[in-house]
Order: sequence, then structure tokens, then C-alpha cells
Amino acid sequence: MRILKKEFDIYIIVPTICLCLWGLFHLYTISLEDSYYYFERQAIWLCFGIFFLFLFSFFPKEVWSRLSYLVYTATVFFLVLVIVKGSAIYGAKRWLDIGFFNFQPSELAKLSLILALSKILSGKERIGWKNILLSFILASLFFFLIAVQPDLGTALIVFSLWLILLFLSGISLKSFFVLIGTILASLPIFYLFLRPYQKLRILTYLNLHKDPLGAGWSSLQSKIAIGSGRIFGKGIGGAAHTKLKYLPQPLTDFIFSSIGEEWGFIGVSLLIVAYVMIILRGLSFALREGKSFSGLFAAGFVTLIAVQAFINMGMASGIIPVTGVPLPFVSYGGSSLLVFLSGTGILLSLSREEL
Amino acid sequence: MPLNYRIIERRNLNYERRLKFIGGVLFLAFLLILIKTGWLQIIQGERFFYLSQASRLRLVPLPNPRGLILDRKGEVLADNTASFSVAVVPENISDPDRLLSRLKEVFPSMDVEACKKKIKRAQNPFRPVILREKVELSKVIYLLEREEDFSSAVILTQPVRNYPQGDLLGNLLGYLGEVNKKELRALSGLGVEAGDLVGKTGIERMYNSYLQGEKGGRQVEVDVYGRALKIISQRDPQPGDTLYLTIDLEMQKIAREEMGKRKGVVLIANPQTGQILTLVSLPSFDPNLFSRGISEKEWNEISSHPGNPLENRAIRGEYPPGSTFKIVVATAALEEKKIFPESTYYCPGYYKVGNRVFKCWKEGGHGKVDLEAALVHSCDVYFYQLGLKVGTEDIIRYARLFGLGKPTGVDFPMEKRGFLPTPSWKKKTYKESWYPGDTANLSIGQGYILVTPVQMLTLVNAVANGGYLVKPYLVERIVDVRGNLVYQKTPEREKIPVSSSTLNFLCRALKGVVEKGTGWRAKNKVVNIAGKTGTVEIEGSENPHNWFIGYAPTDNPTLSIVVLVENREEEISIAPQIAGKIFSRIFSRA
Repeated sequence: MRILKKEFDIYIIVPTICLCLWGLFHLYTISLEDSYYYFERQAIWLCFGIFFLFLFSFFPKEVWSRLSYLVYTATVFFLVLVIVKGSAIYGAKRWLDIGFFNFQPSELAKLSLILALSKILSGKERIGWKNILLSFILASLFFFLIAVQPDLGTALIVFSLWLILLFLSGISLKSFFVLIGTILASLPIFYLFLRPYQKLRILTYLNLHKDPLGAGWSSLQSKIAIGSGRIFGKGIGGAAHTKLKYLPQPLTDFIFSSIGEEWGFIGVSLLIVAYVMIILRGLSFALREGKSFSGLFAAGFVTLIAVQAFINMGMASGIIPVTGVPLPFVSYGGSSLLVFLSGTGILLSLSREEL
Repeated sequence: MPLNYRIIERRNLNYERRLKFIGGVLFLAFLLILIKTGWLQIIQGERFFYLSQASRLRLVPLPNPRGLILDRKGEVLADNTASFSVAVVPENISDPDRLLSRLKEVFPSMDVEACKKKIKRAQNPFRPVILREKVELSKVIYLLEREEDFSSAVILTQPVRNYPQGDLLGNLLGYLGEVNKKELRALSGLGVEAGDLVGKTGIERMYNSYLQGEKGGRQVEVDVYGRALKIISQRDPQPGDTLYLTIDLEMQKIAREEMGKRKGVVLIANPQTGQILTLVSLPSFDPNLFSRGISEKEWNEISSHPGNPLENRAIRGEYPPGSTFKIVVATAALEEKKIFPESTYYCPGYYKVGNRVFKCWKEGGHGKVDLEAALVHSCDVYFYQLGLKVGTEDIIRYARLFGLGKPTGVDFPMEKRGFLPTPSWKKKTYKESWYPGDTANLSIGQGYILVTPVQMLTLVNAVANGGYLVKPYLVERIVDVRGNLVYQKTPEREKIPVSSSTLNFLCRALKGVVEKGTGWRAKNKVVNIAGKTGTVEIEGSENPHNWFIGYAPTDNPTLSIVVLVENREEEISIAPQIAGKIFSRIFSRA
């Protein structure tokens, strides 16, 4: 056991696995009788995901910096492929059908962008406009390819990853604000060129669930589900209110509601503790590594986890409007699970201590 | 060295500070979540627990009226009337059998089993399932008086689409129908749900997202008897936006009257802007049939009608242009300098291409004619020879410049693009070369070529307005319920590279067509018209189609017109006569 402790950062690996298993178990408890379809699929993906996690964590740490452009290029290829021949679900092309499951390249894009940007922005004395431009091109290519799918929600996450890594890389505050100012200033101009129906559709791209009947029906239902869990929850399998029919996407976007209902405030606190552990651990590693490839990757990856977790939980508890973003490690969905576990594997590989 | 070292030091410090800043922001974000869930679960917990028990919440939908469609002067073309229906919200029914048997007493003809199935099949348990539509007011009052007995039933007041002009604008406005699976996939992001009515064709479809507005709803907390205790939240329904069309109802009526019972199209537009003032496509249908719930018999009658009344022929009908196409051939010849306007050909009434004989429409021929006379009298022999001289490639190129062979971009769903044949297309399709005979046929607008009436409208507009291709349109502006302007169309136009001398020549020739040529029946005492006629011979025994495209007044055109009579019954060229009557009535009105 001592060897394992030295080799891997257990403060990352333990909460990660706990979250995954909890998510899987939770999926089981809210499944309707005789219908463990989602549970079974998620279990298979989890096996694959944990395999990747350990496989990647044994890679030598130098590999990742060298592989990053290759991964980026491959992702571009997948993203183009999805536009050309992806299958349309809900009128948007986001999925590649590869036999066993539908793969969502835009999930992979988040990870490969962090890899590529970490490489470009690390080890530089000064981040000049050349590097800013280069990183912008890398990020905006993804942004564009994902936005046309259309999945503006994910595209915006990709975009914010770019801003965060740029901010960390040591670009002067002045350039940073100039950049943000330019982008904000160009938004209305961009918006002006859109036709009214396109503006309307932007709201659809943002993946806002419109609920035509009533003011925030699904948001209210979600709050009722969470609130009714009270402090100790209704117990395992007791998510009576979170029956499949009450909320849209109860297994992905609104999974937090049923967790709140079954596990109560205690459960929600534990969930948040698990995320905070991973994030703190990642950030302190990033602090130790400095502005290197490892440091930037660690910071970027845990920020991604944090942003997605915040958006998902914030939506379910009614802090932010309803959008569709999965809860990392917990929500149903193969692409998201595989990508987050692979990313954790990379993080573990980078942080592995030499014996 | 020391200086450099300090710089690096400072930069690392910078990195650390920023990393901590990000960490701090994330920490605050998670704290916020914890506080909010704490609020929901600890402080509000008991209340939400109570609400989650049984069905304490009910959803009462508040329907919203669809937007109005008005003509350019504000005359109503489509509005809404009220209709009552009885529905149940599946989530709220405690005893469906009892409720249905009580309802059966009120409505003896109700099919209880079918209703049960309907309730079971409902996808969204909060969305009311309509059991009975078009309920008389007396029964509505009866149900409301005995609310205790029917507590889980709701009376829906539903707006019903109404088209005061009946079939005058049927295939322009389109009709409404329940959204189907395919449409639902495309529209779900725009707030459309299964069971909603959406525009199926025409303007109703094209501008559905503006017209539909937003449904409202009210969440009500109820007691065990289902009586409303308090309103938890409410969203007011948003009526749809009002559409102002470019259509002039009065002109539309005139054109319709002059067409009588004939099959065909009348289009009238402003040649400078592309506003379509009149769009008559006959036969037509009454869209009210659909909003009142069309019977199977009525549907069969409409859908199997040989004249296809559901189609908008002006935009989705494809026809050979006949001699109206000579405008294009003449332009190509002049612009490519293949001929001088005064060059003449001799017309003996026929022309031999290879060993095939092509006839002129006038037996005995026109004798010696120049280009202007050839257009005025529509001499086919002249144009056979001219077309062969110009060549297929240039003819097709100029046809494209005038907007043929591609959609005009008019704001109407699924516009047809017409068809321009090319030698390579013929080779591919028929495995046959393009013969000079094909070129001769093309020169008089016959053979493979197809155009839509709205394409011919843009063509004649370009002649009338000095060489601009204007995009025709039907919706002038959209105004929301508070009167704010949501959308205002600005005309889009593009100059065609055709010289003004050619355009002047065309105007002179088209004037001559009505003054002394084949379009003389358009002549009237009120206004001077210019234009071109066309007659499309159809293989077999069917009567020919008859075109007239033109504009008035000749010196300063304010209106352009396309008249197409399908399989004309009359022996005479009826299209110019109709155009003349319509214009004389419109211009004498002003």
C-alpha cells in the first residue's frame, strides 16, 4: 500500500472513483423496475473509463506534452467527421455512431484543447501576441466546429477554457482585458448580422430547455425534488418525486435533483466535498509545478471539472437558467465519463512521484 | 543576472496569485451551491416535502392567440375566434373511470375507451389531453356549475384560426395542423410541443416562429378536493406577432374576379422594390376547413382534386415560358453583339434545322422582319435563327442573369427553382447529344426549359426597373403585440450587367407588343401597358398554356404583372386580355 501511495495521488483517485461509483449506484436506484438499460450501459463505460484511467496514469509524464498536438489534430478530424456524417439527435449533429455507442467528439475536444493550450502557453518567458493569436486559432477552430453542430453550450465552455489558461499563462492583465473587451465589443456587431430567426435559434443552440407550460416548470420541479430531501434525504430508492416523468433529462442534466432528494443535504455536502477535494488537489499540484505543461494542464482540467459541476448543480438548484451540461463523473453518458476519467489518468501520470 | 532572476521570480509570483484567485472564485461558487441547497433543503425543506407529496401542484395552461396576418393596409387576412374544449391533465386524475362516466352523461356520443387510451398514451402528464372539442357554450356552463363533480376536468378556451377571406388567399396563407414528429424535432427548441398547431404550408409555415407566440401557464397549489388554494407562479401567454403582408386585398380581389373559374396564376408587384401586391393561384382552397377540423371527405376532395388546390402555383408551379423567353434571347443577342436591332431575317412560316421543319405560329409567315418586329409579332422563325446564332451557352447564361433556373428567394416555403437545360445535362440524362433543334426549341421557350411564375415576375421587373434583379417578397413588416417593430423588410436588388441601350430597346419592343402586336388584347383606355405574350403548346390534345408578362404605365412603371392561364379554354390569347382588364380597373381606381 505504501508503494501505491507514493505512486499515485490518492487524494485525487479516491474521490474520483467514489463519485463514479456513486453515480452508477444512483442510476440504479432511480431506474424504473425491469429497466436497467441505462445502468448497464453506464457500468460498461465505467469499466472502460477506469481502465483508461489506470492505463494513462502509467504513461511516462513526458509523453503528454509530445502527444498533445496529435490528439488535437485527431479531435479536429472527429469534429469534422461528425458534421459530415454524424447522426442527428434532437435536430443537432453531435454524435458519431461507432458501433457500441454514440461517441460525442465535442466532449473530447475539451480535453484535447487543454492539452494543446498547455503546450503552447507553457515554458514561455513572456506570452506575446503571437502566442495569444496561436492559442486563439486553436480554440476558435474548436469553437467554430462545435458551434455549427450546433452545441453553443459546449462551445462556450471551450471558449472559457481558453480564457482561463491564457489568464494563468501570465499574459499581462492589460492585454487580457483588451482581449475580453474586444470580444465583448464584437458580440453585438456579430449579433446585428443575425436574422431574427437566427437570434431565436441561438437560444436553442445554448441548449436552454424552454418549458412552454408555465414559469420555470422544470426548474420548480427540480427545486421541489431537492428541497423535499431535507437534511437526511428520503433514503436510497426513495426519489419518489424524481420519477422519470417529472424532469427533462433526469439521468444527465437533472441528476443532481434526484441525488438531493435521496441523499438530502448530507449527501449534497458529501458530493461537494468530493469535488472540492479533487479541485484543491489539482490546484495545489498546479501551484507546485509552476507555469509548466503539467501545471497548466492540472489547473485547466480541474477548472473544467469545477465549471461543469457548478453549471449542472447551479441549474438544478435554480441559481442559473436551465442548460444541458452533464455532472462530471456522475451523469449518465459514455463520452463525458470516458473523457473525464482519461483526463484524470493524465493528471495522475503527470503527478506521479518518481520512486 | 540578478535582475533577470527577479523578473522570473515576479512572474511566478504572478502565476501563483492568479491560480489562487481562480481557486478562490471556484470555492465561492461551490459555497453558493451549498448555501442554495441548504436553503432549499433545511429552511424550505418541509414545504417542498409537502409539495412533493401526491399531486399538490396543478398546471393550468393559458392558451395564447396566434399572431394576426394583415394585408398592407391592415385588412384582416387571418385572425382568431374562440372555441371551448374539455380536457383532463393526466397527472391530476384520481379516478378516471368515474370522471369519464360522468362526462359520458353530458356527452352521450363520447367514446370512453378511446378517451382512456388517449389519457394513457399522453407523454407529458402535465399537459392537458383534449377529450372533446368544439363544446357548446351551454354545456360549458353546465360543467362549470358542477365543478365539484368534474374537478379534474378543465375547460380550455382555445383560439381557433379564422380566415375571413376564405379561399381568396388559401394557398398563399397556408393552413394549420397538428405538429408531426419530423417538424417537432426541428421546432422543439422553439417551444413547440406535441399536440400543438403549427403552420403546415404557406405564410403560416414560413413565419410560424413569429406567429405562434408563447404559451402561458399557471402553477396552482390545490387541496385534496382539487380546489385551487393559491397560485404559485404564472407565466402570461404571449400572443404571436402581427404580420403585415405586401398583399393589397383590393387588387387581389380584382385579379381573382378577372381570372374567373380559370386555372392559373396572377402576380402583381412593384417592379422597383419586389413587393408582391397580388398573388392569385387557382384553384384554391378555404383554409378555414383545416382550422375547424377537416372531415375525411373534405380532405379527400381537396387532396385528390386534379387541379391540386393546395399548391401555390405562382411559386411552386413549373412551366415552359414559351415566347416570353424571347426577351432573354433578344438580350443575349444584342449584348453579345451577335446582331444589330435592324438586322432582318425572312420568315416564310417555317424553318429547316437539319432535316426537321420548325414552324412559325403564323401560317404563311411574317415576311421580312427585324428584331423589334420579331418581338412585337413574336415571330418564331426569326428566333430560331437568332437562337442558333447566339448559341445555347449564351442563352442559358443570360437566362441565369435574369434569375431563371434558381430560386428567387421569395419568403415562401419550398420554392421551386425551375430548370435550365444544358448539353451536358442532356447527355447525362438521355445519353444523347444536344442537337441544333434543341437550341431552336429553347429559343422560343419550349422543350426542356421550365420556369416558375414568380421567376418571370423578377424577369419582367428587371426590364421595367432599368435592369435590377429585385428579390420578390410577401411580408413587409412584423409587429409585436405591444406595437414594437420586430422586422422590417428592406428591398434587396442587384444590377444585371445589361446595357441601357438594350434595356431601352426591350422597353420599346414590349410597348409595341401591346400597341400593335400579339398582346393587343391588353390595350385599354385607362393605362398604357407594355408586355410580352407566350403560348405554350403541350404535347397531346391538351389546350395550351397562355402567358402574359408586362408592366404599366409604360413610361414610368409602377406595377408589373404576370398572368398565366393553364390550359386555356378560349381560342384567343386570353392572358393579355385579363392583364389589361386588371390593370384598367386598378389604375382607374386611383
